[in-house]
Amino acid sequence: MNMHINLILASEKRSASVVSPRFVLRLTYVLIPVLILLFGFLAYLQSRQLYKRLEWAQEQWEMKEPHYQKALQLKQEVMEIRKAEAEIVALRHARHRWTPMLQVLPEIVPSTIQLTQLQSQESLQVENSMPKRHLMLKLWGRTRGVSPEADVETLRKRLFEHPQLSGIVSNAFIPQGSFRADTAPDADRTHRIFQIHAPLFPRPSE
Amino acid sequence: MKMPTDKKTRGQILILIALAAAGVVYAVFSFVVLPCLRSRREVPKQLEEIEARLSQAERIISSVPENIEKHNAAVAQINEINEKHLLQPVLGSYILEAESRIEKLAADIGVSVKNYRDEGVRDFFPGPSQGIDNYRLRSYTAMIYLETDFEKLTQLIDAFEQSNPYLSILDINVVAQPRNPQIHDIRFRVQWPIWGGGEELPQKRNE
Repeated sequence: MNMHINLILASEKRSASVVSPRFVLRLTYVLIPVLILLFGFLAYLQSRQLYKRLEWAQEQWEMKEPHYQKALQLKQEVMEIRKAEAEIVALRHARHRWTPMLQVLPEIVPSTIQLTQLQSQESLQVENSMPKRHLMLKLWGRTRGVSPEADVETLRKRLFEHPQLSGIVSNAFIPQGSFRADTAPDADRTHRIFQIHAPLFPRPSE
Repeated sequence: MKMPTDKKTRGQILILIALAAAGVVYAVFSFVVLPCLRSRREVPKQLEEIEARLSQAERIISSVPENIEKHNAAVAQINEINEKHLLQPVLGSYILEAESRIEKLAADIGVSVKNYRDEGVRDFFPGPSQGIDNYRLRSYTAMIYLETDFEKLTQLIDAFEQSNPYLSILDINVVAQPRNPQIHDIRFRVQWPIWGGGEELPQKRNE
C-alpha cells in the first residue's frame, strides 16, 4: 500500500528549472526591441538599395532619352515615307488599262451594229486608306439588222463575257428607255438606237 | 524622480504614461512609418516603369541602322519614280512638258493633235477626310483633242500606257463623224502624277 504525504503547501512549491519565468520575461523585453531594430535595419537597407536602383535607372533614362526621341522621330519618318511610297505604287496598280478594251471592242460588235459614241467616266476613291479607281464605260450605237434586240443583247453579253474582258468589265446594262426607235432620216422601222453602260471592276482589285 | 507612494495616484500616473506612449507610437506610425512604407511601395512600380521604358528605348535605338536603310531605300524608290515617270515642271508650268511628251508619242503613231487644254494641277482626293493624310502626290491633267480612226486611237492609247505606268487615261470620248464614219472626233484626258504641294522631295539620311 502506497502512502502520499505533502510536506509543503502547493503555494510553497518551487520549480527545479534553471530558466525562471522572470528570466524569460526579461529576455523577451530585450529580444523584441532588438528584433524590431534588426528588421527595421534590414528594411532600411533594402529600401536604400531599391532607391539606388531607381536613381540609376533614372540617370540611364535621362542619358538615353534624347537618342530615343531621335530614333522615334526617324521611325515616324520611315513610316511616313514608306506610306508615301506605297501610295505612289498603289496609284500604278489603280489605273485602268484601256488598250485591251479598245483592241477587243471592234471584234465583239456585231456587224449589224454601228457604235456612234464611246465615253467613260472615272472616279478616284479612297477605300481602306488606299486609292481605288472606278470607271464606267458608256457606249452609244445604232442597229441596222432585222433583229436589233438580239444584236444589242449579244453586244451587252460579250462586253463582260469575252475572255479578254471578263476580268475587266464587271457588268453591262441597258439604261431604261435608251433602246428605242432610230428617228434618223436614213433609218427604217426596224432600226434602233441604244446605250450600254458597263461598270469596270475597281482597280486595284483586292 | 520618485513615484508617489499612494497606490491610486501611482496607477493614474502609469495610465497617463501609457496613454502618452500610445499617442507617440500612433503619431510615429501615422506620420513617419506609414508614409515611408507607402512611398517605398511605389518604388518597385516606378522602377518597373522606367525599366520598361529603357528596354523599349534600347529596342528603338538598336533599330536605327535598319530604319535608316528602309528610309533610304524608300527615298531612292520615290526619287527614281519621280525622275522617270512623274511630270516635271518647266519654269513652274507642266503644260510644256506634257505637250512635248504628247507630241512625241502622237508623231510616232502618225497622228496629229488638234488641240490641248490645260486642266491644271489638282489633288487626287478631295481632302484628308477620305482617309489619306499628308498625301504628297497631286495630279496634272491635260485634255487632248484629235481626229483619227479607231485603230490609230488604240495605238496612241497603247503608246501612252506603255510609256509610263503611272499615267492614266481618263474620260475618253469618241464620236463618229457622220460624213466620214471611219474618222472619229476624239477627246481624252491624260493624267500624270506630280510631286505636289510645293514640298521638297525627301532626302537620304546618313546618321
